[in-house]
Amino acid sequence: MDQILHIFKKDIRRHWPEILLSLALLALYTNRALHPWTNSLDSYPFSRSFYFFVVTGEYVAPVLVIFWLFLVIRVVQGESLIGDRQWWTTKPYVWWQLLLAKLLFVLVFICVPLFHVQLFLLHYFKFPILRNLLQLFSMQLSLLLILICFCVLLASLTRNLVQVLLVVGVTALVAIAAAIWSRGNYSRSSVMEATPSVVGYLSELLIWGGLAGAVAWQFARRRRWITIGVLIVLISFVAAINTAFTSNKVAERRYTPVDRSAAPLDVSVKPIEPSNVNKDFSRETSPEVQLTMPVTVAGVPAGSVIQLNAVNIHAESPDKSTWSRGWLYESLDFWPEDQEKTLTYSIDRKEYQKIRSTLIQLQVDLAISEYQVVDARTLPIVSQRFSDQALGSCRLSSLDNSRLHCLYPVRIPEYVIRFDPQRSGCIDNDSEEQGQADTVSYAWKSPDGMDFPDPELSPISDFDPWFQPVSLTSSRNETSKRRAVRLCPGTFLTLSRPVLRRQLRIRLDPFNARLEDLAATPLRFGLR
Amino acid sequence: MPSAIHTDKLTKRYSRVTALDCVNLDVTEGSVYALVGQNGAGKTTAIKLLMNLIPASAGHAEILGAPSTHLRGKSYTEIGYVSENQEIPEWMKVGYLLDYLGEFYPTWDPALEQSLIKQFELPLDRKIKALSRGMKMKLALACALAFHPRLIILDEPFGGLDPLVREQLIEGLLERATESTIFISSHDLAEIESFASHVGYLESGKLLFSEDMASLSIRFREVEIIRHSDSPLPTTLPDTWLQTKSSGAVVRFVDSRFDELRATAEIARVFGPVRDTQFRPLTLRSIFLAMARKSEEA
Repeated sequence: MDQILHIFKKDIRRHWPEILLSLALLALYTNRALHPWTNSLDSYPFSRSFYFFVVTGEYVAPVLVIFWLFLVIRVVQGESLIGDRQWWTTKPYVWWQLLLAKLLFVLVFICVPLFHVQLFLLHYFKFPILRNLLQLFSMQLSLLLILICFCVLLASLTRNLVQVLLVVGVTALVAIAAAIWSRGNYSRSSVMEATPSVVGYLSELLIWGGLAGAVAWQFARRRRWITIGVLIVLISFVAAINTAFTSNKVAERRYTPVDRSAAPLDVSVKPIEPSNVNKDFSRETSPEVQLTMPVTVAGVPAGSVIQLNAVNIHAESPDKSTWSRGWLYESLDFWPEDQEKTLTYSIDRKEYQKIRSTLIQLQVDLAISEYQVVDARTLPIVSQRFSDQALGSCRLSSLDNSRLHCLYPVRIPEYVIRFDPQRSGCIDNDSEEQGQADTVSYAWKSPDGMDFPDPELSPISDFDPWFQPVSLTSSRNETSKRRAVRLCPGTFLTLSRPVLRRQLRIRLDPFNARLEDLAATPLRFGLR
Repeated sequence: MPSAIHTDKLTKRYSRVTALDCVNLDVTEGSVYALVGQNGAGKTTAIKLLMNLIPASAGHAEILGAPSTHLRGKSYTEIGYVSENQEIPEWMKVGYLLDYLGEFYPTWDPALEQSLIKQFELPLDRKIKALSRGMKMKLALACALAFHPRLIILDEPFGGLDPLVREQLIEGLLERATESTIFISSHDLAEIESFASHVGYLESGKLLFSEDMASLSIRFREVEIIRHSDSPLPTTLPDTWLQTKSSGAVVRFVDSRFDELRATAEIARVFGPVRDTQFRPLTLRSIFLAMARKSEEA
């Protein structure tokens, strides 16, 4: 213990200028976090005097985090673990006390000040502290894990900042190369795939345990190449078991098949009209062609919302050859008032070119999640900031009439907000096109199933519930009757909470179509 | 006498290069052992292995009775280590470094620390990065001596230092020689000769000899013979004769296994009757040079 404090005091003496700078940056960040409304883009026109602050303030959080990473690396490399010329390696340092001294530094000069700032922010925005304490600790743990497991490990495997930058640069190049590669193989990433939860837990355990173990081993033995070798083997092993156990049978396992009669909604593909546009995409560069299918929707029970999670299309040509790309992610909401929607599905461009003009039979399957909307109550909108237990602290957006700005402690809550124009109370002075919608509209966020908060700095989540108008016609129809929602003081909204009820698979009636009649023309950007 | 350092076939290989090749070393406690050899002979590698700074490829070493691979943490409270290549934290001031290090050693002696500060004329309030090379070495030595170590290991401590600083360092060392075992590697043979009790000679990773200074100085002699004629040297000469040279009737060489009776008999066998023979003792430097040149010729 004596050695821990002794090394800790030495590190304070060495790094006091960095500590002061870190605290100054944290103070700047806190000041910015106190004014979330001025951080929003829509306040630019109304607070030009703050323009400089807003623009520069955007960089405070990343600068603070980067500076912390720099500080942690500097502190760890104060007793460099690489090489055989370091004076301290032949002194009676006890490795675990050295490691704990470094962790104590991170805790005292990064975690504790941040924790105080987080408590202060919760108090300032009048959110309960005790109720959110556990979440705050989880945020701290996330941050600490990242700082220790990545930053301390990086610092313990490099000799100086130049080597750190070199490693970061090489990693960035690999990431860019991987991004370019995955762009060329985009179709794979859109496939609905998952690994069994036990493999997921095992992978997390191996990765985090491996990283923490590598840090400890490096402090104890200072064998860089062995540590790197073990890490490479570990990461390869995790990648291998994830690849081996990743399955595209997620929809089959997670979503229960039901007959259309037992489904919570009735979806039918509208008759497909022949397209007069040339849909030969042989010269396109995109690896995929997007198909769009207008559907009619009915029967969504009141007090429910159906979320479309994935689509699968099975095609059968006259010569009895079949084709399917499997389940692809799709995100679409069905509300009780909805009548029409548009499904999309991507197909490999080369496959499309082969069968685009052939009349084929298509079988569409949908994977859906049904949410029950509970605890409904009226939420009156006022001109000033208002608070709600479920939604947090909110106000009307000053620029976008169809948007609220809200703050909530730690994580964005799940919510369903219903807007009914009959209860709007707004005086419509605008043109018909921009004026009040005559249909209900919803803003919502589904439960994300996450139980561990992200390692963010601020405990105040900033989110914007946005009301999308319910379309009465398909979006393919050029004369869509979509109208913007308009909120104003005096509007009564209905606030409720979505609860996942069940996940189902439903099959639509098969229909015949040519793919070129379903294909969407790619968007082109350029100068004429 | 128990061994302070003992190695058994200690080997270190870097890829295809063998830096240290099956070195068997035995340093008795209380001795002042000088490890000498040319640049690249493997002296620093040997010391790094002893200090557990790098892992051995084969063989093993024991330091103060424990395997060198177990050397970490508290084990260093008994070993003072100084190396010319060591990176001292340059941001610290001299006084702070001494204060800081003192906390790590239960046997740190403040009185001895003050004595060393005075002896080495260390400026306590100056940053280490502002110190000269000689001053840094004195500081490193003070740090290595102030806790009464049982074993002091010094890797090329005198390299590039002026004579006055060398003298101060040696004085400082000698004052502690009674309570510690000193293991030193150096090129500075003249200084080492003045205080080393044992010497080992390392050549291309191999330990060619390791013995006490008294027997070494007895074993090596410069021999000068004055012959009756200036005939050419015979083609085959005894292996123990190093650097054999002739100038007219005079022949000089270094006998590396000197024994007066045996040497006289061999001279008679090689040259027949000679006019005069003289045997002169050699300095360590001359022995080292003779060995080095022999290996170069080989």
